[in-house]
Amino acid sequence: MQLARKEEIFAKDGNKTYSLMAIVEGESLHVERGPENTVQTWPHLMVRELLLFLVVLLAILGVSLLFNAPLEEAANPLHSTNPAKAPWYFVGIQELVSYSAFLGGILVPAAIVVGLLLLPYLDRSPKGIGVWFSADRKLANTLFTVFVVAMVVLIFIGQFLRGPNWIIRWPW
Amino acid sequence: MESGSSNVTALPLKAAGEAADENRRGFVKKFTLSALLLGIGGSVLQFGRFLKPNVLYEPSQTFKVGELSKFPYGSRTVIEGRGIEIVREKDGIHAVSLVCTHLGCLVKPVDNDSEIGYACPCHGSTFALKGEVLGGPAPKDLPWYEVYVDNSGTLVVDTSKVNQKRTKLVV
Amino acid sequence: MNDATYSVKDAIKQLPTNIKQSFTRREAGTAEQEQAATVFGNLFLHLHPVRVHANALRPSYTMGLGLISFFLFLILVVSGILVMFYYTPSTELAYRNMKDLEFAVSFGIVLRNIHRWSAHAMVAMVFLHMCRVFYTGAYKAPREFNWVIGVCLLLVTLFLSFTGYLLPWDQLAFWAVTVGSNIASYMPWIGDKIRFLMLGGNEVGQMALLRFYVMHVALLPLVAVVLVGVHFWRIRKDGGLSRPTEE
Repeated sequence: MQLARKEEIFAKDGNKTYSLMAIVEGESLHVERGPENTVQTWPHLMVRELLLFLVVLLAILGVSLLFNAPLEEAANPLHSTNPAKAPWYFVGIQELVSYSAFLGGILVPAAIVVGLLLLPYLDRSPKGIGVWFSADRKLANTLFTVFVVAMVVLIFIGQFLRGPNWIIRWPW
Repeated sequence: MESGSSNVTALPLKAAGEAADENRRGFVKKFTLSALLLGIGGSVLQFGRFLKPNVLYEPSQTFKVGELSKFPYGSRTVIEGRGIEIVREKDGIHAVSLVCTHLGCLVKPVDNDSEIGYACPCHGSTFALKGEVLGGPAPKDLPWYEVYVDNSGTLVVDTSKVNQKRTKLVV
Repeated sequence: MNDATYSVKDAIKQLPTNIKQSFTRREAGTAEQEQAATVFGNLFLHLHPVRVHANALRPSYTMGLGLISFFLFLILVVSGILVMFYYTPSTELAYRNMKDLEFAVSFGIVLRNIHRWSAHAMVAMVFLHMCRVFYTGAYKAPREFNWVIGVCLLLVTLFLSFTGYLLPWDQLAFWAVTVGSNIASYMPWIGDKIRFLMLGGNEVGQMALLRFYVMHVALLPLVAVVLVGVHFWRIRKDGGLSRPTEE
């Protein structure tokens, strides 16, 4: 619409070698970058991705050469280990199960999964996209931090503080 | 559509016919779709039975544990590999599960304790002499299983049947 | 090239150029065209747009967490396939295979270590990636659905790691899976049925090992690959990585 209207004002002149193509909004001229501030994917992004891959590979290789994966004696259904722990990412849930079966086995896992799935449909505020710890999202950030800290603390207690007979003790 | 009807009356009639047609089509469409979904969904659900094994290559849940004479009065005998303990007292005999009701570890019988009969090494649940929860995270009492003596005088335990009433076998 | 100018000699002379062009599907262009074609002319790279917003390159914004998770997944696929050559999903053999990997196979222990440590790292990285996406508000419209796919990928990652945990068939594996599957059976009504289906029986035995193996090496990786593909495709469809609105 703007284009058509402007053309009437700036009538075409056969003697001119230029014409108005479009009017775009902008506060100042962009110097040395395109109007969208983009760069070529190759090489700028891809080279960084490849470098990151090398770093990851080297880190894993280094750790693997230094530390052996744990392997205990063969499985024996007649003798349970003391204590018996789930893999570390489930130890937080196990810690909750040891307080209450309903709380840890049903309520919390279901609440976490359903909450995470519904999160973007419950938080419809368009504020704070693309900024770390946006000041516009204090409540959301606080709630999520509580969740993350609770998970980390529960996993830490379950993994390091629980000794034989599931008794709290210092690991060192 | 009787005689004398003009174009004006014919038009809404035609439109009504079209609407009815649309309704019919909509119904047929919905009917076909739900039939298709029911058929496919039902088949998939039924095929889920494929994943449920009909034969288990596990030890039988009914098994002999030995002659009655092997269990003297006042004895507690753990049956290795079966996760049960046979307890014989003056007033009868019963089989109690040693699989912790919390997360499935094997509980250890505790001797010489007037209260605690069993303790779970994994997460610290404790059970009374008859299997009732005393402490720890366990949500339920240790179940008792059905026991009987077969015609050769051997004690048989059936772990597929829980003795809900906790009745002892008097022999 | 028409019949008149065709000659075998020319064909041999132009062989390298022709082979290269048949492979890259293009002729040489300007530097910028070449760069663009590198991305859009490649099946594997064309999930990327030809140009990306400068914001996507800021390491302090993404910390590369999603990419690191993906790279760890690639490492896991390769090391997993290699370890599979020496593994049998049988209660008799599985543990012995582990010992063989450790003592009898060249670099066997390194491969197993790579697989194990990458698996742990991937779970952690996927979780951290989720935290990054939350704290930068990157799940908001129009990226809601990609967040949902991401949550599914988190669950798939957890199940992949959990199913792999049983395979060495040592005490750690056996009791961790016993405990884990008993946690599952706390679910109301269906918990015991799910445990029975998961283990293929009432106890952690041969059937459970086989089921965990099939899920670990076939079913879950397939689901993960499909979901990762959709996840990446959606990044581009939803307008690239999230970024602050321009001033």
